[in-house]
Amino acid sequence: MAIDSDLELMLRVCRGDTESFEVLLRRHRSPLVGYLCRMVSDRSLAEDLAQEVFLRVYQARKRYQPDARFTTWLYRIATNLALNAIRDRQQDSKLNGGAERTSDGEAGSRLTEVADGRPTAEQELIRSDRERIIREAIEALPARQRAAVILHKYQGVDYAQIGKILALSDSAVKSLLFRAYESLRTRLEPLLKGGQL
Amino acid sequence: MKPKIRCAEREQLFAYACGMLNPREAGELGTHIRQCEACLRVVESYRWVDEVLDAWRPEEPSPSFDSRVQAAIATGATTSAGLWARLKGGLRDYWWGSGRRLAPVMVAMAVAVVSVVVLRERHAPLRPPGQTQQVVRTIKQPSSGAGLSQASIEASSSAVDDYDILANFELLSELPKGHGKPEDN
Ligand SMILES: [Zn+2]
Repeated sequence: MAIDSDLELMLRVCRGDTESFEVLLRRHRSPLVGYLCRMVSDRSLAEDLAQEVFLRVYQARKRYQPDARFTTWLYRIATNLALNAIRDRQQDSKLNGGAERTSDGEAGSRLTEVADGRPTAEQELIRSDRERIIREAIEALPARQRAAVILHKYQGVDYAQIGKILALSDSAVKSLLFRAYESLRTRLEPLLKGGQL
Repeated sequence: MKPKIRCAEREQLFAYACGMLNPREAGELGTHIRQCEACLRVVESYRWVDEVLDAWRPEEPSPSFDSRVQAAIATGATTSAGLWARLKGGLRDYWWGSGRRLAPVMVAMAVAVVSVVVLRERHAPLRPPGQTQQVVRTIKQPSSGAGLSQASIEASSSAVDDYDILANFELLSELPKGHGKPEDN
Protein backbone atom coordinates (compact mmCIF):
# COMPACT_ATOMS: atom_id res chain seq x y z
CA MET A 1 0.00 0.00 0.00
CA ALA A 2 1.44 3.32 -1.03
CA ILE A 3 1.92 5.87 1.72
CA ASP A 4 0.11 9.10 0.97
CA SER A 5 2.37 12.06 0.49
CA ASP A 6 1.98 15.14 2.66
CA LEU A 7 0.77 16.97 -0.42
CA GLU A 8 -2.02 14.46 -1.13
CA LEU A 9 -3.06 14.51 2.51
CA MET A 10 -3.06 18.28 2.65
CA LEU A 11 -5.17 18.55 -0.50
CA ARG A 12 -7.68 16.21 1.14
CA VAL A 13 -7.63 18.33 4.29
CA CYS A 14 -8.47 21.29 2.02
CA ARG A 15 -11.56 19.40 0.92
CA GLY A 16 -12.63 18.91 4.52
CA ASP A 17 -11.14 15.47 5.28
CA THR A 18 -10.19 15.67 8.96
CA GLU A 19 -8.82 12.11 9.02
CA SER A 20 -6.09 13.17 6.63
CA PHE A 21 -5.21 15.95 9.02
CA GLU A 22 -4.84 13.39 11.80
CA VAL A 23 -2.43 11.41 9.62
CA LEU A 24 -0.37 14.57 9.10
CA LEU A 25 -0.48 15.29 12.81
CA ARG A 26 0.74 11.79 13.73
CA ARG A 27 3.44 11.93 11.08
CA HIS A 28 4.90 15.29 12.04
CA ARG A 29 4.19 15.81 15.76
CA SER A 30 7.37 14.13 17.04
CA PRO A 31 9.84 15.93 14.75
CA LEU A 32 8.00 19.19 15.28
CA VAL A 33 7.93 18.98 19.07
CA GLY A 34 11.57 17.84 19.02
CA TYR A 35 12.47 20.81 16.87
CA LEU A 36 10.67 23.32 19.05
CA CYS A 37 12.09 21.83 22.27
CA ARG A 38 15.57 22.34 20.90
CA MET A 39 14.70 25.84 19.71
CA VAL A 40 13.16 27.21 22.92
CA SER A 41 14.68 24.87 25.54
CA ASP A 42 11.39 24.58 27.34
CA ARG A 43 9.27 21.51 26.80
CA SER A 44 5.96 22.95 27.86
CA LEU A 45 6.41 26.08 25.75
CA ALA A 46 7.54 23.91 22.82
CA GLU A 47 4.36 21.81 23.02
CA ASP A 48 2.20 24.90 23.16
CA LEU A 49 3.96 26.30 20.12
CA ALA A 50 3.66 22.98 18.28
CA GLN A 51 -0.04 22.91 19.02
CA GLU A 52 -0.29 26.43 17.67
CA VAL A 53 1.57 25.37 14.51
CA PHE A 54 -0.93 22.57 13.81
CA LEU A 55 -3.84 24.88 14.47
CA ARG A 56 -2.47 27.44 12.07
CA VAL A 57 -1.91 24.78 9.44
CA TYR A 58 -5.52 23.71 9.85
CA GLN A 59 -6.81 27.26 9.79
CA ALA A 60 -4.78 28.07 6.68
CA ARG A 61 -5.54 24.79 4.87
CA LYS A 62 -7.42 26.56 2.09
CA ARG A 63 -4.45 28.82 1.42
CA TYR A 64 -1.94 25.98 1.18
CA GLN A 65 0.14 26.29 -2.00
CA PRO A 66 0.94 22.84 -3.39
CA ASP A 67 4.16 24.23 -4.89
CA ALA A 68 5.69 24.58 -1.42
CA ARG A 69 6.74 21.40 0.33
CA PHE A 70 4.49 20.71 3.31
CA THR A 71 7.38 20.41 5.76
CA THR A 72 8.82 23.71 4.53
CA TRP A 73 5.53 25.37 5.31
CA LEU A 74 5.24 23.59 8.67
CA TYR A 75 8.76 24.55 9.74
CA ARG A 76 8.35 28.10 8.52
CA ILE A 77 5.36 28.60 10.79
CA ALA A 78 7.15 26.82 13.64
CA THR A 79 10.34 28.81 13.18
CA ASN A 80 8.50 32.13 13.15
CA LEU A 81 6.70 31.24 16.37
CA ALA A 82 9.91 30.02 18.00
CA LEU A 83 11.89 33.10 16.98
CA ASN A 84 9.11 35.30 18.37
CA ALA A 85 9.14 33.39 21.64
CA ILE A 86 12.93 33.62 21.90
CA ARG A 87 12.84 37.34 21.14
CA ASP A 88 10.13 37.93 23.77
CA ARG A 89 12.20 36.10 26.34
CA GLN A 90 15.35 38.02 25.46
CA GLN A 91 13.52 41.36 25.62
CA ASP A 92 12.06 40.35 28.92
CA SER A 93 15.45 39.38 30.25
CA LYS A 94 16.92 42.72 29.14
CA LEU A 95 14.14 44.55 30.94
CA ASN A 96 14.84 42.49 34.02
CA GLY A 97 18.52 43.26 33.69
CA GLY A 98 19.29 39.65 34.38
CA ALA A 99 20.14 36.46 32.62
CA GLU A 100 17.69 35.05 30.13
CA ARG A 101 15.24 32.82 31.90
CA THR A 102 16.18 29.72 30.03
CA SER A 103 15.78 26.47 31.76
CA ASP A 104 19.48 25.66 31.92
CA GLY A 105 19.31 24.30 35.40
CA GLU A 106 16.15 22.29 34.96
CA ALA A 107 16.54 21.07 31.43
CA GLY A 108 18.96 18.33 32.32
CA SER A 109 16.47 16.75 34.64
CA ARG A 110 13.72 17.00 32.03
CA LEU A 111 15.55 14.89 29.48
CA THR A 112 13.47 11.96 28.48
CA GLU A 113 14.64 8.47 29.13
CA VAL A 114 15.47 6.59 25.97
CA ALA A 115 15.18 2.85 25.94
CA ASP A 116 18.36 2.12 23.99
CA GLY A 117 19.80 -0.70 25.99
CA ARG A 118 20.29 -0.08 29.66
CA PRO A 119 23.08 2.36 30.38
CA THR A 120 24.54 2.34 33.85
CA ALA A 121 23.92 5.33 36.06
CA GLU A 122 27.47 6.51 35.43
CA GLN A 123 27.16 6.17 31.66
CA GLU A 124 23.87 8.01 31.78
CA LEU A 125 25.46 10.79 33.82
CA ILE A 126 28.28 11.22 31.30
CA ARG A 127 25.80 11.17 28.47
CA SER A 128 23.52 13.72 30.12
CA ASP A 129 26.49 15.91 30.84
CA ARG A 130 27.56 15.76 27.22
CA GLU A 131 24.03 16.59 26.11
CA ARG A 132 23.99 19.56 28.45
CA ILE A 133 27.21 20.92 26.94
CA ILE A 134 25.81 20.49 23.41
CA ARG A 135 22.49 22.06 24.35
CA GLU A 136 24.18 25.04 25.96
CA ALA A 137 26.48 25.49 22.96
CA ILE A 138 23.50 25.57 20.59
CA GLU A 139 21.48 27.78 22.93
CA ALA A 140 24.32 30.28 22.94
CA LEU A 141 24.05 30.75 19.16
CA PRO A 142 22.10 33.70 17.76
CA ALA A 143 18.51 32.58 17.17
CA ARG A 144 18.65 32.18 13.40
CA GLN A 145 21.96 30.31 13.52
CA ARG A 146 20.34 28.04 16.09
CA ALA A 147 17.37 27.44 13.79
CA ALA A 148 19.64 26.71 10.82
CA VAL A 149 21.76 24.23 12.79
CA ILE A 150 18.78 22.39 14.26
CA LEU A 151 16.99 22.21 10.90
CA HIS A 152 20.16 21.01 9.17
CA LYS A 153 21.46 18.63 11.79
CA TYR A 154 18.41 17.21 13.54
CA GLN A 155 15.49 17.71 11.20
CA GLY A 156 17.40 16.66 8.08
CA VAL A 157 16.19 19.70 6.14
CA ASP A 158 18.42 20.55 3.16
CA TYR A 159 19.88 24.01 2.86
CA ALA A 160 17.60 25.03 -0.01
CA GLN A 161 14.58 24.35 2.22
CA ILE A 162 16.26 26.07 5.17
CA GLY A 163 16.55 29.09 2.88
CA LYS A 164 12.82 29.01 2.24
CA ILE A 165 12.06 28.58 5.93
CA LEU A 166 14.30 31.47 7.01
CA ALA A 167 13.76 33.58 3.86
CA LEU A 168 17.45 33.48 2.97
CA SER A 169 19.38 32.68 -0.19
CA ASP A 170 21.31 29.40 -0.48
CA SER A 171 24.62 31.18 -0.02
CA ALA A 172 23.30 33.06 3.02
CA VAL A 173 22.22 29.75 4.59
CA LYS A 174 25.65 28.23 3.97
CA SER A 175 27.28 31.27 5.54
CA LEU A 176 24.92 31.12 8.53
CA LEU A 177 25.65 27.43 9.08
CA PHE A 178 29.38 27.99 8.65
CA ARG A 179 29.46 30.65 11.36
CA ALA A 180 27.35 28.46 13.62
CA TYR A 181 29.70 25.49 13.22
CA GLU A 182 32.72 27.71 13.82
CA SER A 183 31.21 28.81 17.15
CA LEU A 184 30.18 25.27 18.03
CA ARG A 185 33.67 23.95 17.30
CA THR A 186 35.08 26.32 19.91
CA ARG A 187 32.32 25.77 22.45
CA LEU A 188 32.39 22.00 22.16
CA GLU A 189 36.14 21.72 22.58
CA PRO A 190 35.82 20.73 26.25
CA LEU A 191 34.27 17.49 25.02
CA LEU A 192 37.34 16.75 22.93
CA LYS A 193 39.80 17.68 25.69
CA GLY A 194 37.78 15.93 28.35
CA GLY A 195 37.83 12.79 26.24
CA GLN A 196 34.08 12.59 26.46
CA LEU A 197 33.68 11.49 22.90
CA MET B 1 53.18 15.26 -3.86
CA LYS B 2 52.25 18.95 -4.07
CA PRO B 3 48.55 19.85 -4.11
CA LYS B 4 47.40 20.98 -7.55
CA ILE B 5 45.11 23.79 -6.39
CA ARG B 6 45.66 26.26 -3.60
CA CYS B 7 44.05 25.78 -0.18
CA ALA B 8 40.34 26.55 0.03
CA GLU B 9 38.63 29.05 2.30
CA ARG B 10 37.34 27.60 5.56
CA GLU B 11 33.76 28.26 4.49
CA GLN B 12 34.34 26.21 1.35
CA LEU B 13 35.86 23.41 3.42
CA PHE B 14 32.83 23.51 5.69
CA ALA B 15 30.51 23.25 2.69
CA TYR B 16 32.57 20.27 1.50
CA ALA B 17 32.36 18.57 4.90
CA CYS B 18 28.58 18.99 4.96
CA GLY B 19 28.07 17.85 1.37
CA MET B 20 26.83 21.24 0.26
CA LEU B 21 29.01 21.55 -2.84
CA ASN B 22 27.94 20.59 -6.32
CA PRO B 23 29.60 17.43 -7.69
CA ARG B 24 32.17 19.33 -9.77
CA GLU B 25 33.27 21.57 -6.85
CA ALA B 26 33.29 18.63 -4.47
CA GLY B 27 35.41 16.59 -6.88
CA GLU B 28 38.00 19.32 -7.29
CA LEU B 29 38.24 20.12 -3.61
CA GLY B 30 38.27 16.41 -2.72
CA THR B 31 41.34 15.93 -4.89
CA HIS B 32 43.07 18.78 -3.08
CA ILE B 33 42.07 17.60 0.39
CA ARG B 34 43.46 14.13 -0.24
CA GLN B 35 46.85 15.77 -0.81
CA CYS B 36 46.68 18.55 1.81
CA GLU B 37 46.81 17.70 5.47
CA ALA B 38 45.95 21.24 6.62
CA CYS B 39 42.68 21.29 4.68
CA LEU B 40 41.89 17.72 5.73
CA ARG B 41 42.25 18.70 9.39
CA VAL B 42 39.78 21.56 8.94
CA VAL B 43 37.27 19.30 7.18
CA GLU B 44 37.65 16.72 9.94
CA SER B 45 37.06 19.33 12.64
CA TYR B 46 33.65 20.14 11.13
CA ARG B 47 32.82 16.46 10.82
CA TRP B 48 33.78 16.06 14.44
CA VAL B 49 31.36 18.83 15.47
CA ASP B 50 28.64 17.17 13.43
CA GLU B 51 29.31 13.84 15.14
CA VAL B 52 29.30 15.35 18.61
CA LEU B 53 25.90 16.91 17.97
CA ASP B 54 24.44 13.40 17.47
CA ALA B 55 24.49 12.89 21.23
CA TRP B 56 21.66 15.37 21.87
CA ARG B 57 18.57 13.21 22.04
CA PRO B 58 15.20 14.64 21.01
CA GLU B 59 12.25 15.18 23.29
CA GLU B 60 9.02 13.36 22.45
CA PRO B 61 5.55 14.91 22.60
CA SER B 62 3.58 14.14 25.75
CA PRO B 63 0.82 11.51 25.40
CA SER B 64 -1.89 14.16 25.54
CA PHE B 65 -0.48 16.18 22.66
CA ASP B 66 -2.70 14.80 19.86
CA SER B 67 -5.87 15.04 21.87
CA ARG B 68 -5.10 18.64 22.80
CA VAL B 69 -4.66 19.59 19.14
CA GLN B 70 -7.73 17.64 18.08
CA ALA B 71 -9.88 19.06 20.85
CA ALA B 72 -8.88 22.59 19.93
CA ILE B 73 -9.76 21.97 16.30
CA ALA B 74 -12.98 20.08 17.04
CA THR B 75 -14.34 22.79 19.28
CA GLY B 76 -13.45 25.38 16.69
CA ALA B 77 -11.51 27.09 19.42
CA THR B 78 -8.73 27.96 17.08
CA THR B 79 -8.42 31.52 18.27
CA SER B 80 -8.66 30.83 21.95
CA ALA B 81 -6.41 27.80 21.61
CA GLY B 82 -3.91 30.10 19.96
CA LEU B 83 -4.32 32.48 22.81
CA TRP B 84 -3.97 29.66 25.25
CA ALA B 85 -0.70 28.66 23.64
CA ARG B 86 0.45 32.25 23.58
CA LEU B 87 -0.57 32.83 27.16
CA LYS B 88 0.87 29.64 28.48
CA GLY B 89 3.89 29.96 26.24
CA GLY B 90 5.22 33.25 24.96
CA LEU B 91 3.28 35.47 27.29
CA ARG B 92 3.89 33.29 30.29
CA ASP B 93 7.48 34.41 30.33
CA TYR B 94 6.43 37.93 29.44
CA TRP B 95 3.93 38.15 32.27
CA TRP B 96 6.22 36.34 34.58
CA GLY B 97 8.82 39.00 33.96
CA SER B 98 6.37 41.87 34.13
CA GLY B 99 4.79 40.48 37.24
CA ARG B 100 8.14 40.18 38.86
CA ARG B 101 9.12 43.67 37.79
CA LEU B 102 5.84 45.11 38.96
CA ALA B 103 5.68 43.20 42.22
CA PRO B 104 7.77 45.66 44.28
CA VAL B 105 5.80 48.59 42.81
CA MET B 106 2.50 46.91 43.60
CA VAL B 107 3.63 46.04 47.09
CA ALA B 108 4.72 49.65 47.60
CA MET B 109 1.37 50.87 46.30
CA ALA B 110 -0.50 48.45 48.54
CA VAL B 111 1.55 49.57 51.52
CA ALA B 112 0.82 53.19 50.62
CA VAL B 113 -2.92 52.50 50.35
CA VAL B 114 -2.88 50.58 53.60
CA SER B 115 -0.95 53.40 55.31
CA VAL B 116 -3.48 55.96 54.13
CA VAL B 117 -6.31 53.79 55.39
CA VAL B 118 -4.52 53.25 58.68
CA LEU B 119 -3.94 56.98 59.05
CA ARG B 120 -7.54 57.78 58.22
CA GLU B 121 -9.08 55.03 60.28
CA ARG B 122 -6.62 54.60 63.08
CA HIS B 123 -9.17 52.90 65.29
CA ALA B 124 -10.54 50.42 62.81
CA PRO B 125 -8.96 46.91 62.99
CA LEU B 126 -7.04 46.24 59.76
CA ARG B 127 -4.83 43.45 58.50
CA PRO B 128 -2.19 45.20 56.39
CA PRO B 129 0.19 42.21 56.11
CA GLY B 130 -2.62 40.00 54.87
CA GLN B 131 -3.62 42.52 52.25
CA THR B 132 -0.08 42.93 51.05
CA GLN B 133 0.35 39.21 50.68
CA GLN B 134 -2.86 39.04 48.72
CA VAL B 135 -1.50 41.56 46.21
CA VAL B 136 1.73 39.65 45.81
CA ARG B 137 -0.13 36.39 45.30
CA THR B 138 -2.33 37.95 42.62
CA ILE B 139 0.67 39.24 40.71
CA LYS B 140 2.64 36.04 40.96
CA GLN B 141 -0.18 33.83 39.83
CA PRO B 142 0.50 33.98 36.07
CA SER B 143 4.04 32.73 36.55
CA SER B 144 2.70 29.26 37.16
CA GLY B 145 0.95 29.26 33.79
CA ALA B 146 -1.64 26.90 35.14
CA GLY B 147 -2.87 29.64 37.44
CA LEU B 148 -4.71 31.31 34.55
CA SER B 149 -8.30 30.35 34.17
CA GLN B 150 -9.85 29.95 30.75
CA ALA B 151 -12.24 32.79 31.62
CA SER B 152 -9.42 35.20 32.31
CA ILE B 153 -7.80 34.26 29.01
CA GLU B 154 -10.99 34.91 27.12
CA ALA B 155 -11.48 38.18 28.95
CA SER B 156 -8.08 39.39 27.82
CA SER B 157 -8.42 37.97 24.34
CA SER B 158 -8.44 41.21 22.40
CA ALA B 159 -5.20 42.43 23.93
CA VAL B 160 -3.48 39.15 23.25
CA ASP B 161 -4.81 39.05 19.70
CA ASP B 162 -3.15 42.38 19.08
CA TYR B 163 0.03 41.16 20.62
CA ASP B 164 0.03 38.08 18.44
CA ILE B 165 -0.46 40.04 15.25
CA LEU B 166 2.17 42.52 16.31
CA ALA B 167 4.65 39.79 17.16
CA ASN B 168 4.31 38.18 13.76
CA PHE B 169 4.43 41.49 12.00
CA GLU B 170 7.63 42.37 13.81
CA LEU B 171 9.16 39.08 12.89
CA LEU B 172 8.46 39.66 9.21
CA SER B 173 10.12 43.03 9.38
CA GLU B 174 13.10 41.43 11.11
CA LEU B 175 13.64 38.96 8.32
CA PRO B 176 15.79 40.26 5.48
CA LYS B 177 13.79 41.64 2.59
CA GLY B 178 16.04 40.46 -0.20
CA HIS B 179 18.08 37.34 -0.37
CA GLY B 180 21.17 38.98 0.97
CA LYS B 181 23.67 37.76 3.50
CA PRO B 182 22.28 37.36 6.96
CA GLU B 183 23.48 39.75 9.58
CA ASP B 184 25.15 38.71 12.72
CA ASN B 185 22.60 36.13 13.61
ZN1 LIG C 1 44.95 22.80 1.46
